[in-house]
Order: sequence, then C-alpha cells, then structure tokens
Amino acid sequence: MLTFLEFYQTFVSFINYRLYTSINLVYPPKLDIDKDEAGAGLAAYLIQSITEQSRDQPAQAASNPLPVKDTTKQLASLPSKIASLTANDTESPSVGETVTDEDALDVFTSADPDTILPQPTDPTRSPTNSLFNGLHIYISRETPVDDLTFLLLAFGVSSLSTDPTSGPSPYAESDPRITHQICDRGKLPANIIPGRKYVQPQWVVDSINRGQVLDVSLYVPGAELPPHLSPFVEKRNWKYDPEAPLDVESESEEEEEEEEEVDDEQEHQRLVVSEAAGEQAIEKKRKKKVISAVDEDKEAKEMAKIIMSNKNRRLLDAMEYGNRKRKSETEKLQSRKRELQNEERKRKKVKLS
Amino acid sequence: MGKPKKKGQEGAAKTYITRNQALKLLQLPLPDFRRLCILKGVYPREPRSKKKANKGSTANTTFYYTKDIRFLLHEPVLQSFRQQKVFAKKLTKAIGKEDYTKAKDLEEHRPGYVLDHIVKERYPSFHDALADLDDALSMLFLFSNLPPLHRVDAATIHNCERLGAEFQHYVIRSKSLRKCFLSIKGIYYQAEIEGEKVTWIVPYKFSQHVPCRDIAVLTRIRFHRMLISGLC
Repeated sequence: MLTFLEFYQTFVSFINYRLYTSINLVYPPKLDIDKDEAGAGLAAYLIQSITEQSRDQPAQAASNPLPVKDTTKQLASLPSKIASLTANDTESPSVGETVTDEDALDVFTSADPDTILPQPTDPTRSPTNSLFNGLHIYISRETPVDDLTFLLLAFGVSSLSTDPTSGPSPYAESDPRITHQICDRGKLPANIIPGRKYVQPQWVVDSINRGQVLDVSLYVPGAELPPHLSPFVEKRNWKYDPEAPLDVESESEEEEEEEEEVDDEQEHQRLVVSEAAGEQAIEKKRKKKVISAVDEDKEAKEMAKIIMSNKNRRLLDAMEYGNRKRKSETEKLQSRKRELQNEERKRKKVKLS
Repeated sequence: MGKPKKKGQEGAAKTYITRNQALKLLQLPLPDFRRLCILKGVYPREPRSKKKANKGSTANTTFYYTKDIRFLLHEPVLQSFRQQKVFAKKLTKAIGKEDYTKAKDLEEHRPGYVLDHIVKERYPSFHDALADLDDALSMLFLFSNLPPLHRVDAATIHNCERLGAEFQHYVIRSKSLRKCFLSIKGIYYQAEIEGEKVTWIVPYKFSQHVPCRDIAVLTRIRFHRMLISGLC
C-alpha cells in the first residue's frame, strides 16, 4: 500500500505538471502558508498563469515573495528534474514534433490538427461548466465545506463564502448579497435573512448531474429529499429508469381505488356498477381484437422457429429468456414504485381529511 | 540429424520463472522484491501448464515471465535498495556503539532514490497515464484525509494533500468536471480530461481539521494547568 502511495505521488506530480503547462499555468502553484493554517483549503493555493508570473516576477523579487512550504527535498528539486527529463521530449505538447533522439523512449505526440477525430459531445450539457454563474453562495460549517467548495468552484459560482473558522471569505453570513445558503441542520436556522434561499447540500450535486439549477423548494432544510440518483448508471431501453413516469396501468388502479371509496356511499353504488359493467363490455370487445392479432403474430414466430437451425433457435431462446428476465425485474421495481406512490397518496388524503 | 533437445531448455520452462528463482537471480529479500515489482508494474503470470513451467512439479508457486525479471535486473532502484540495506547496517552499528556523531552524519546522507524514470518508462504516452489516474487520485485523497500514522509521516500526508488540491485546481480551471455522486463510501467525481474520463473518490472528512498549531502542540498536562489557572 505504501509502495503504491510512494509511486502515485511521483506519478500524480508528473501529471499535474503536464496538465498545468497544457493550460499555461505555473507549476507548482505557490502555497500561502498563513491561509493554509487558517484552514482555507483550496483557496490557499495561488494559481498563476505563465504570463502573469513573468509580469509579476520583477515586482516579487523586490518585495517578499510568498513563502513556499518545502516538505521534502525531492519536491523542491522536482521541477528541475521534470524539466531535465522533458528536455529530450517535445517542448510544447500541443505542437507535434518528431523526436530524432534514438535513445529516448517512444514519445506519442498529439497528431496533426487535421487528423484528430471529432470527439462526441453531449449537446444537453454545457461544456463551459457555468451552472452556478451569478449565484452568491454561503456554505454553513456543518456541511462538507471542502467538497462543496470544489464542486461550486468547478461550476463557476460567482462568489463563495464560508464560516470564518474554515477560512477567509468575501461576505459575512448576514450579508444581503448572498443568494443561497447551504445548511444541513435538519431545520431552518433561527434567524432567516429575507431574499435568501436555504438549501441542503444535495441540491448542488443534483443540479450538477441534471445540468440545470434545480427548484430550491424540494431541497429546503428539513424537507424529505428527492432520491439522489447516480449519474454513473447508463440509461438503457430495457433498464428500469427511476425517473421515468409510470405507465397507464396506474390509472386503472386509481379508478379501482375511487370505486372502493364510492362503495361506501350507498346512493351512487348502482350507477357506478352499471357504468363499470358498460365499460367492461367495451373493453372485452377491444381485447378480443387485440388477442386475435397477437395470436397471428405468435403463430408466425413459431413457424419461423421451426425452420430455424438448432443453433439459431437456442440463441433466440436465450435472448428471449434474457429479455423476459429483465422485463420482470423492471416490472417488479415499477410495481414497488406504484405501491409507494399509492401509499403516499393515501397518507396525504388522510392528512387532508 | 541435429543435436537431441534436452528437457527444460526452451518453451514454457524458459518463459516462466518461479518467485524463488527470481529472488535468487535478483539477490533481493522478498519485501524488496515486492516493492520493486509494484514500482515497475511487474505482476505474476499463470502458465498454461504448471508442470511444464516448473520441471514437472505441480506445486503451488507463483510464476513470473523470465523477461520481466531480467528487465528488473538493470533497475537503478535495485541498486539503491542494496545501498539502503548497507546504510541500515552502518546506522545500527553506530547507534549500538553509541557513536552518535557518526550516526547523525550517516542519517544526513541517507541514500534515497527517484522514481521519475519509472514513470516515463511505464507511461510512454500521456493518455496512458490519464487512463491510469483513477487509482492514484483515490489513494492520494484517502491519505490526505488521514492523520499522520507511525509509518506515514506528516510530510507525506501534506504532499498528498498538496497534489490533490493541485489537481482540483486544474479541474476548476479547465472546467472539466462532469459528474458527481454522494455515496456512503465518499464522494465520486468524474472529470473529462483531454477526452479521457477520470473517476475518483474522496472520503468524507469526519474528524475536524485543527488548523491552529498551538492547540495541536499543547500537551495534556499543560492544558489542565491552563484550565486550573483559569478557574482559580
């Protein structure tokens, strides 16, 4: 485990160096020790672009430069080592250069811009990641502050304030400019500031996964949260999709429920029964037609099956078996969902009455 | 007619090497061999027929490719392992003889090694490296949340923290975060970097980070003394 850790440290520092230089940032970024000790987390790092640094350098030489934490000797000498190692390599990774040095390892430089394959892009998601742009968010200290900070910054939040114990922040908690406050105490705070929306942390993650800023009312502190679904599950046709609305069957169940309620009232009973009987007659006719069509299909399929070779028939059987299994699983989950919904509806009715 | 072939001269018998044979060849103790294998990315292989690979024996042994082991033979890190062994001997001897000036002198010149060339060797292209980044990031984030243990010193943990934060800053700057999921284990993130999907998990921080150095250093006795002096 520790050997892996040892290797991964070197490995990730290489990758970070490459990533930073690919977007013209200075690596390693400077660490402001005062801020770090104040618990600023991500804000303690001073990220500079290469042009900025070259502009600032003479000025910094005159004044005191920010102190940089030297943890290990290895770290301090890392940039020079990387530079010496990459000296054989291409100077800039974006420009395709051929390496003539035979002793050097094979270097796979990026191909010509004409030959690059077009990457598939998701049209529903904006690649700019500016979901929270324009929002001023305050993160209360009971929430996972570091993780939320990272998420909100990655999606372009306008300003981010936290409790002073977890680092310096632009606005105080009572500042009226704050639009959203993330809190996780199970109820609204005692002194609510008007014009501000109070949400639970799940709102941030759900908004990111949906690609839109979701309705705040579902995520009010103390409210029962909507299910937090994994974005890593791929949607397939045959798979159960918890977000999809239920099919028509639920309506018929509703009718049944309504019928039950009507049963209690003596006067309406006869009317309802006659109506139901009429409906049933029509339905029966319709069903007959459908059944005959289905029978024809079945026969045709069976005929085709007889002609098939054994190998193909077994394959078809296996496919049908798999389909049936998946379908039954989906139906099971759907029926559970339906039951839950019905229960909830009943509970609401009881509450209302 | 050519020379008759002897048994065990070619084929599986030559392609594979057992672990003990490998240790003998490399002249390394087992823990060092394991470390070297992890660093170089060499892992055991299963021969199609154990009998053919192990001189007719079907005993339960671990096999490696002979080529892989020969490849380890020229590793600079191997040399430094041997240097470390010698160093440890010298240091214990100096301490045993209570020659502390010598021990201090030795400690200052502790032999170290760098893994830069191994990284370059194992990942010839940047995309290979990105594809292998998942585990590395998860591990770094895990250790950056741990308190310093007796085998993992504070400097290592701070380094993990720094590397993780640097990567997060890159993700923020490049706007490459795509998915996020709060699970029981921790928070899963997925970023798309140069067309490669990188997924990592960050555990929740349950213990409070104590930023103030004074509190951290404060011993129990001093704390009680302060408390009592406040009461009186």
